Amino acid sequence: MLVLSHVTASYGDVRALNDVSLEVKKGEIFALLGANGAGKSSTLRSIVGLLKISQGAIEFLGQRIENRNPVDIVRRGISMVFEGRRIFPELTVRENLVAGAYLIKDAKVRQERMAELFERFPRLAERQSQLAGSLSGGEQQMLAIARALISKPSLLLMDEPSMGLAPKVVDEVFRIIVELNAAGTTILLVEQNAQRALEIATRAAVLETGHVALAGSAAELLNNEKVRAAYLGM
Amino acid sequence: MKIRRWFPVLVTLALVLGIVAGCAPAGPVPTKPAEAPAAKEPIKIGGIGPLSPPGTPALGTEMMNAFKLRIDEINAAGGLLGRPLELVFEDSAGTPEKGTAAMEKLINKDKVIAVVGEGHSSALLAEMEVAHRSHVILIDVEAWSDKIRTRGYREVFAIPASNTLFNAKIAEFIQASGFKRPFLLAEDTDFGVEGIQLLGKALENLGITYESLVVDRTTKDFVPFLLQAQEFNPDILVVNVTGVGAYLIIKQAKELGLAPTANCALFSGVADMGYPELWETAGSAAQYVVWETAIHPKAQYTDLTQPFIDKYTKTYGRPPTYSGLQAYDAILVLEEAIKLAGSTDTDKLIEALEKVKVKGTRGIMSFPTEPGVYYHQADVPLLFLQYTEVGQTPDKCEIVFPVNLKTADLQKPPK
Amino acid sequence: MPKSLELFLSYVINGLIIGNIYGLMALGLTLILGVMKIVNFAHGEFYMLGGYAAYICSIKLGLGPVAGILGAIVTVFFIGLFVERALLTPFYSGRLERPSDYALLMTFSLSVFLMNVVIPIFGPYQKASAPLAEGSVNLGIVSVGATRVIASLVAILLMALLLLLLSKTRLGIALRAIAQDRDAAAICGIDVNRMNPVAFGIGTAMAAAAGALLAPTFLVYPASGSLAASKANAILVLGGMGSIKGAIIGALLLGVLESLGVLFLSPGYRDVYGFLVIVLVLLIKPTGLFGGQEF
Repeated sequence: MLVLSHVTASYGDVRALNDVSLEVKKGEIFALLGANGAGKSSTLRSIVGLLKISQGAIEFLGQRIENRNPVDIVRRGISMVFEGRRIFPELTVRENLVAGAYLIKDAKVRQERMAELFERFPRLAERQSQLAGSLSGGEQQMLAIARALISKPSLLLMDEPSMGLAPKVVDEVFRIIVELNAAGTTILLVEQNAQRALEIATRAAVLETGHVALAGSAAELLNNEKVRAAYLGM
Repeated sequence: MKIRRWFPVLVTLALVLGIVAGCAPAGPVPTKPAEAPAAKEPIKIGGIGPLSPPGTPALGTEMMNAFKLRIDEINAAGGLLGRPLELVFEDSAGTPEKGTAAMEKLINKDKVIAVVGEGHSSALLAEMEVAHRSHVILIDVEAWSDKIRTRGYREVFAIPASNTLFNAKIAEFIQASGFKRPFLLAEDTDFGVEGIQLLGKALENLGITYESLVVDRTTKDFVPFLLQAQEFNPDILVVNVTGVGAYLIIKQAKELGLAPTANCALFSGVADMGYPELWETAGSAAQYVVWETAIHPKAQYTDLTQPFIDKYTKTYGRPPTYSGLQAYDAILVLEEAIKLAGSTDTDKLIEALEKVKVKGTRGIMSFPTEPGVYYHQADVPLLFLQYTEVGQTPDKCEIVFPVNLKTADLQKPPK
Repeated sequence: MPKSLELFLSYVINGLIIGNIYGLMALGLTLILGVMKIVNFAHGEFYMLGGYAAYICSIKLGLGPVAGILGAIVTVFFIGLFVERALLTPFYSGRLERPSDYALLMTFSLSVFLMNVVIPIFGPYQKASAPLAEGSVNLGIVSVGATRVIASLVAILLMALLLLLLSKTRLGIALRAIAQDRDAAAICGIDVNRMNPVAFGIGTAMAAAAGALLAPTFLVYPASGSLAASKANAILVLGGMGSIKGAIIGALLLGVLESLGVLFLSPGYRDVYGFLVIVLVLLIKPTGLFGGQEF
């Protein structure tokens, strides 16, 4: 579904990605692991066009999408939940979703989608006219996910969705990821919590200094000595 | 893609060309010497004045036009000393900084034999330092500061009224018209502040009580100042503010119901009162405004007055104000001095200037040498006019002062 | 009412009337800053162009004062669009090392250019556009020029319309989303680069509206925008760069403070008082009154 081949990208003089190649298959949860600064977020940013790549190619559903306008990429069915949630704090919950549904021109469809999401996240429905910045961390994460889902993406990129959340909320986030995947959404998951990520993932890769160091099925990586030592704390 | 990338560059280039083109009239405007004596090296005369803000561009433009008019006439008649004249005009923006730079450029680069112009005292006070240092004649066309005269530089000659002379006349006018409570508004420049002090002194001498206020001339909303004036309950508002402020004050004073009204007259002593912009900007608020000028068809000072006014009006499409007359007179004076001296040498020219009696558009000009506020100061006629109708041209105004030239009594707006 | 209170109130009223016009200027600047993250140094010149457009429509073409104001808004909106497309696209193309420096230099040069280019077109002389009303309005304690009362009311109306646009429409939500988080907005499917000309067009049209509303009272001439721009910039800082609430409250505050400064302090430095207050506010709260609040 999504193929990155030999992708290289930099922020100014700092190289963020160095010859990254990986493939996400339809229907799977693909976990991207690695230490801070290994290039996980940069990989996601390059996929959605927020980071221009200097070499390599990115294909989505058989078409080249590298270095395109983010809007064009989102329109093809990719959406993203940012690290740190990045909801619009001075917009209300409802307005955040209106922004997320920007590409949906039909007002009726927007209403239906919003109703669906409010049903799924009742906490958001209760707080729909509150400013998003006033929500709790967990609620903000739900809003970030809802905002990404309103466009019904076929591929959802999630950057550290459990970061900074209470354990109970983390459980809920992972439950939602599994549910979404079961409902047919392919997921590319970047996670610090390697243990939890590998438990739900189909396949995974480990990034080290902008390069894919290891890749394989989730089970393989879960049993890999190096991974266990470096990322699972065993 | 290529084209898109270059588009901003092309547009920028176009803009730069536009700026250059747009600035052209503000740069030096040499007058072409006439064909006949073209073989000879021209005598270069420097012109200086405000062509851009914060100065009054209308004033600088008028001076430049009047200079050109006389210089073209001289060239058409064969030039001076067998040589054509050439005007090199520089923009001073009415500021000391730009004025100094413009003077230095005229003297050092263009090698002019004398400089004429300027309409802002603060600029001229800086420019005259350059003239004095470089020993080049500077003829003041429309800067009124007393300091210009009292500094006593031999190189500097004054065509317009000085503040002392002018304010003495205003005080006389106020007394003669029976006003008892004048309120004075002045701009925060040498011209304004010095003027308010001099007028205050003159009023005190006549035993008239007054109040005054100095205002920032770049401001646009004068209502707060006018509210203060209203508190004083004046019977005449004297406005010593040039440029846009001159019009804004009239408009805003009228809107406030302060002046000109049945209870309070409005007098404004600046050149801006003579421009058609007064009506275009202040509109009906300017009816009954009293102002001061040196030009009026019923005041034909010499046989040069009307021909100049006609020719200026025909050439530039608008009648001159007294700044135009003064600018024209400045060239007449210089012309006479060059003829008398038979040379363009500064010392010989100064000697000649101190001797000449030149017929100008406003009377006979000569330059006394006694130190003080009348040093190198030509005698100046002053007329107090009143706009009695909306949209009136200056020549249709009534003369209300001095008494010997008066054509009508001062009118008050109906209650 | 005692005389002194009456005087005080008349100064406050005058300050509020002017403050609304400042608000219109500052709101346009805030919109551009919020969405594009650039300070438009040519904002005052769009104010000036608005004045000239109003003059041409209302006086030269004889279409009347309402057409003058509408003409100014529409004309300058399109000039704004053109300027943004023609001159500011390199700012966010990603090809520049220091895009903010580019934007600063470009808008600053544009300001000088526009100020000079109108001299050969309109001449150095001052013009006034047709006023919406003649005479003055008696507000009980003070008589105020009708033109500026109406200008103030129209300014309130235009500000309300802009706030309505920003809070109720999808376009407005998109603009606010971009101001708060550009990348997140892009991933929502909002074409952030296409919104730049929209924001610039609307922002400059607000300046033009202010210019057109004041052209009958404060006149229009080549340099007429510089004072208005300096006030708008000051309000931007006072209100806390980019806050809409801050821009409106800051504008009213500046208007009243300037007016009262004349009453209580020396009148000669009227345009300085507002700036003194700004320095004080910034010393106490370096982010401005409403700093950190985006839109």
